Amino acid sequence: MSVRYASIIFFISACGTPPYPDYWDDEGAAPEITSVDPDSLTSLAGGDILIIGGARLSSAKTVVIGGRNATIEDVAETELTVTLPDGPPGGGVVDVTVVTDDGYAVAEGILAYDTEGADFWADEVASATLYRLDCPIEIWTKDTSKDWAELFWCGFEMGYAEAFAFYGAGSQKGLAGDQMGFAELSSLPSAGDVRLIAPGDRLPPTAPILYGARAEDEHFEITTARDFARDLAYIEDVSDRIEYFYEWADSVTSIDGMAYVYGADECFAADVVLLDGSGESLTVDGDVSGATGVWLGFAVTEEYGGGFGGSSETYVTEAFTGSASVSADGSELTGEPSGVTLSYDGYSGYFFYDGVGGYIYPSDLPTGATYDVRYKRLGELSETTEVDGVEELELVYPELLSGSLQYDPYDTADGPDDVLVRRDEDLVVEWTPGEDGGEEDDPSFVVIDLRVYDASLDDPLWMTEVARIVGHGVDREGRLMIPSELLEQLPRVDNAVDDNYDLVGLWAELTVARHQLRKAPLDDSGERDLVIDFVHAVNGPITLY
Amino acid sequence: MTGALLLLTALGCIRPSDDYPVQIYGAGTALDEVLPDPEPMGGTIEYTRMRLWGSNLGHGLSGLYGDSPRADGTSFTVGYAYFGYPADPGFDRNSSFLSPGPPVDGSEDLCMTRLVTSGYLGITEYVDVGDHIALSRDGGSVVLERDPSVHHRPAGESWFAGYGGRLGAVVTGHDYLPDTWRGDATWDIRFPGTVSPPDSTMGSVPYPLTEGSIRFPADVSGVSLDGVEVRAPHHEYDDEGVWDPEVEDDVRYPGPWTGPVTVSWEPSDDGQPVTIVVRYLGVGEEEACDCNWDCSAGFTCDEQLGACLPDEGSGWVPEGELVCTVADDGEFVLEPSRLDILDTWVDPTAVHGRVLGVARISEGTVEVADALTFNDKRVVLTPVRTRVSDVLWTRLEAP
Repeated sequence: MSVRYASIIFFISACGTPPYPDYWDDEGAAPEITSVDPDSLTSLAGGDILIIGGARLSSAKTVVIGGRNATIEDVAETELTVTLPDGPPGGGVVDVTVVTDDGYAVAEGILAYDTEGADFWADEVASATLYRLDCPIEIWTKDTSKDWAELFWCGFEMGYAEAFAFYGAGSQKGLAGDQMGFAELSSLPSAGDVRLIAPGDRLPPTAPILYGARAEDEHFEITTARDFARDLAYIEDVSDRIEYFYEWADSVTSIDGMAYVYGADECFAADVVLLDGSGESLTVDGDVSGATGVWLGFAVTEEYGGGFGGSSETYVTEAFTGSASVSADGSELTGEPSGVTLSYDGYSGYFFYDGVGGYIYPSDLPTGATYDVRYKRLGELSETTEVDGVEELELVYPELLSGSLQYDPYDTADGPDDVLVRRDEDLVVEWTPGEDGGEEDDPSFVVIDLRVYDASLDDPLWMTEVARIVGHGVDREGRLMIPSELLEQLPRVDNAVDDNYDLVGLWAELTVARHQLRKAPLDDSGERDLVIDFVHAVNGPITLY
Repeated sequence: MTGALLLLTALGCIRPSDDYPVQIYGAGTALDEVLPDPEPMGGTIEYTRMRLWGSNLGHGLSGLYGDSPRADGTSFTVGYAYFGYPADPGFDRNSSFLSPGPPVDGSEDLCMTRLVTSGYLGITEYVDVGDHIALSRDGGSVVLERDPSVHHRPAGESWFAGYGGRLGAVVTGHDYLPDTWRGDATWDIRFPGTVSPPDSTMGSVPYPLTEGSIRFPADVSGVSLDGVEVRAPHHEYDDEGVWDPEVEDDVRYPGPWTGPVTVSWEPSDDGQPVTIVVRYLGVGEEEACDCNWDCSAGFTCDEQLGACLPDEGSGWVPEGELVCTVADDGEFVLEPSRLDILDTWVDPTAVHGRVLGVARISEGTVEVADALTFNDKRVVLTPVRTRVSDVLWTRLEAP
């Protein structure tokens, strides 16, 4: 019996022995943080100086601000001078940590990134991004034989759309505004300001996400009432843009509304001519009974004379701008709402759109519309929240959709005279000011994103980024200037192609994007929001001389 | 009876036997004849350049990504690093990209068969060393960013930190960008140190790494198989480099299935051993599909699975491999017999493709400050394994 007790005492005593020793011997020698100056910042962009006040700081080796490492510039017993790192996406209140030879101190919540939108997405746990991007039909540049080359860029569609969401396992504040992969909100300087990310600089941090396992039927519905008249008007709008921007518009003999019809098996069944549309009703020129979906678009017919023997060549190109799930009776179709249903993908944790034929088109995300937001889980559909979609961005300058923002890179004798963007001059980007948004509960951002890539590098993903200028436009001001001092730090960019019409050398693209963020509560707690970033962007290649 | 048993046992001693040039990794009883004992370590910092110079090769060979779309003919760099305690010998031996073969003294060739190319480490907590790890010197620079870039707050546990994992371009001599690869060079390794958030269960290295270096191996160059140069395929371009969408440039080489294959390369100045790998690939699902039209070149839709499957195996699904460390004398003959054990252990129906890798791997260690546990205790992490590899992959013909 006594042996058993002795054994128990022996084993229990082992529990009192810490497996590892304390890191520092004297807790009293640890540093202390009492203040930071400034204690509030209006931008996540790093580079500014922060003074940390406290005690026993003279042997500081490491300073961490919001999880990112600051650069120590100067140390003293009661004060540290550091250069701020880029702040954590989403902003908000963060900790400051100082490590010295004798210990560390954490000042929780001592510094605030009081950036635009930080309060709005403070309870973001689910993030949806719905964007439409407009881009030029074709662009013109010179090939290595010094001939003008025409590249079909976005084609007659003149744009595309994407929609997806992520619903992880915790806070993901700021993620909705970052998911596009360009013109991200977390990279912005203060409102009205512009920043340079020079060659070799580290890129701003990305919003952290935690995979969330969810029910198989989970999805977000972000929809608006179907209006086929609006879908047909979008086709008209693109047709007008083709007439205005397309180099060979004089050779276009017709642009005719047409549709691909998908049958009961959800596969392509027939193509038909669009006759009329209004509300949920669409009329086509054939019997499409049993149809489950349509792609809406147009066929562009071009005729070119001067062929052999005076003959002419005719080309017909089809382009699609919208889609709809439908039911059909004869030639009359009835459409389901516009918008998206984003369904959970168990592999990635993302929610993806699986529309007609697997595609989403620009007119599926109508601008200026009011959307109904619902969340479904385990068979239960939440109450509807109404939110406004993005207001259409009207870009005034530069005219990115023209596709002609190129100069002749070989005309170097006196410098090209057809340059639109000179690095030694300020570039003023102008848009029609937004009427809505910009309020604390309805944030609106205009992002100017100028990126330079090297197309000649063998990049495993796409093109290697060389440098970037990011501007934070104030929507209601309608303009933002990129100063020449920043532009001159970018290299000259020719946007040239080789004889195969492959992009070579440095290429630049300018994107102007309007983000308008909305939110819908996921439950009654008031602490769990779905944040939706509705975006309308205009993008095009641009040369820098 | 006893005499009969003794006789039977004695007869066993004279059964025909032979020396086997190949020894199996993880399944033998005398492993220390092949490898010295691994050393417990506190982490690994790795960086690699990979060239995919054969048909239907993809980023799956990096061990970090899927294979679709195929990336044959291209090259990339990628780094990966992570740390943990208590120290684990897996950090010493296991690579995220290509684990080394048996160590040799520089003049001999030695092979082993490996059926499990990666494993699980015995660490109990990951360790955060700051928001990035930098490899740099003299105009060369690679930054391995931390994942997550910032810790989740307040989201309960923040328990994982890894570094790198992003594919990048091979950059050398660029007008504006730093080099991302420089064969036979020595670069500095630095990290800034950090302390994990109070609600994290992770460890951290609170002090910066200010002294440490990493050695790049000499470039792998001039590789040929049976005298035929290994080259990058150029799909959709003819031999003159003119775009031709009809061109499918098939690049593959005979494997050592029925006869020997001679692998040749250009020896390095300092005679650094070369690693040669024959890897058998299984198959894994890529993107969803309804029909073949949904899958990119080199993939076929399995309509029952609803997924695109690779026509010649998945780079990220190794079934097993023969790995040889050979003297840097410019030539090594791969005999079919070296694959006997691999062929015995791997189910042939599971093998959908075979690839050959030729690599130089440069290993070292770096000393780092002790880790700070989440409850303020001290744990030794040093040494940390460093490894830089230059890997050329190509496609082997099916047997």
